[in-house]
Amino acid sequence: MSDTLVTLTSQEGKPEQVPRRIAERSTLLKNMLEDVGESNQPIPLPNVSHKILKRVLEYCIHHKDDPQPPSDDDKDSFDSSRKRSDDIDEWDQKFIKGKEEEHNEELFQIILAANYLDIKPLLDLGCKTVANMIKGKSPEQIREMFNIENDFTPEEEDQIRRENEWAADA
Amino acid sequence: MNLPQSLPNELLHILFSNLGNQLSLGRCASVCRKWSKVAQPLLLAAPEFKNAMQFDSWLVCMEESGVSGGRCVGRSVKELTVVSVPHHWDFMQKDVLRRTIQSCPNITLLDLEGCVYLNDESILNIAPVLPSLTHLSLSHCINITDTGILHIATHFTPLRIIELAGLFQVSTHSLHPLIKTHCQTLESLDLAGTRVTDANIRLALSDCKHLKHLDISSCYAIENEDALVAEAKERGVEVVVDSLPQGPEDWVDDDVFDGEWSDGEPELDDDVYEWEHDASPEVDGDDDDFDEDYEYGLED
Repeated sequence: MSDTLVTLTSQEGKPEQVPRRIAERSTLLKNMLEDVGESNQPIPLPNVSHKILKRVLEYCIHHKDDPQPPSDDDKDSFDSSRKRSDDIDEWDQKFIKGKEEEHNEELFQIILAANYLDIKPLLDLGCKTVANMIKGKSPEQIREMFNIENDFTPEEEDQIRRENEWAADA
Repeated sequence: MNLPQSLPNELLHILFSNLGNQLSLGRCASVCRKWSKVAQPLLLAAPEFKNAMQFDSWLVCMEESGVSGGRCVGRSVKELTVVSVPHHWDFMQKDVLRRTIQSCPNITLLDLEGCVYLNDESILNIAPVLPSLTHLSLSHCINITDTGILHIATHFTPLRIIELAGLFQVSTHSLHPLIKTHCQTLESLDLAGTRVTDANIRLALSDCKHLKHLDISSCYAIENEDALVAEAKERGVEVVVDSLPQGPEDWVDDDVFDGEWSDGEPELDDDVYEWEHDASPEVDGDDDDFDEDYEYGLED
């Protein structure tokens, strides 16, 4: 039964067929499939482009035999000690790097898709990767890297800098 | 609007939580308005300090933002722990504590463990300024007495976690009312080294419906520890009785040499050890015997 094929339809309306157990790496799809039961109806994913869907499925296929991550209810808790961004496995690192020229754009789209489809390990991977890119960079360098516009007034920027000055110490 | 800037706040939150260091978080807060809204509260929620200087500059930042900008970033501070800062007892004195809680009114966790210069008067300053407080540690603030704890009993919002380890001056005079007034919320109570009595603990066990953890290590006013431990276990409360360092224990001479020491000789290696045990299962602790075996083993 887990070998039955599921049809996912991307933003562009393009269908993509995957074995059910691959699709079930996504908690969203898993729950949907459980609710619907046996059905050949394609599942529309209006928030995910075909290109990103292919990338996400590539990840799911590689990780098809991983144990399901435990669901965590304490999403809100800020626990910096538990989160480490330096333990990314080799395949994942290569996967998330993708093509150099469209790396950043694609990276954030993968994060959005992983969040939407509720694939926690992929979301973690994306976030850890971005975290590693941010580390050690100045605000100006971060803006440049991600092409973010500085929308602070000079006064606001000065105030924010003063408010966070203590964290830059030591 | 580009992608990193338009990520939903929830995602930015996850992303910034992955940074794991304050320096980067502070820089993210300075990138743009949207990032600032997520990164700054995260940075301030549980600030960590490497040294007294950093704590001082943090406190000044909190105070200045309250005064000048009216932004009061101190409102974002939820958890304040100074125990890991070297010499925290030197800077966390009465006046600094007063300034800290005035700038950070929404603190839920306040860990002042080991701030030995704090006294009862310092405690009188804390409430009712901290209406959200649920977790208070005053462990090893040895100058705090019943007067301070009585103030906590009568003036503090209901607390979930209270840690008073090592407050040897604190007795049933304040602990009884403390347990009484916080019994609806108390989940964890550390009274190691206090003068808590059997009756206090019985009260806690009977009235604190949510109590899960209790530390009564080295409480010398307790007469029947075993009975209390049994009672607590029945109630499903975890009890700790050995968290405080004890004095040197009496030498236990069990009259059996266990092969662990070698009297200044090089360490026994495993083969020799095995052999020695096999050859003479009834070790009688006779040094000379052992040394012979040992020498033999080395030559082997």
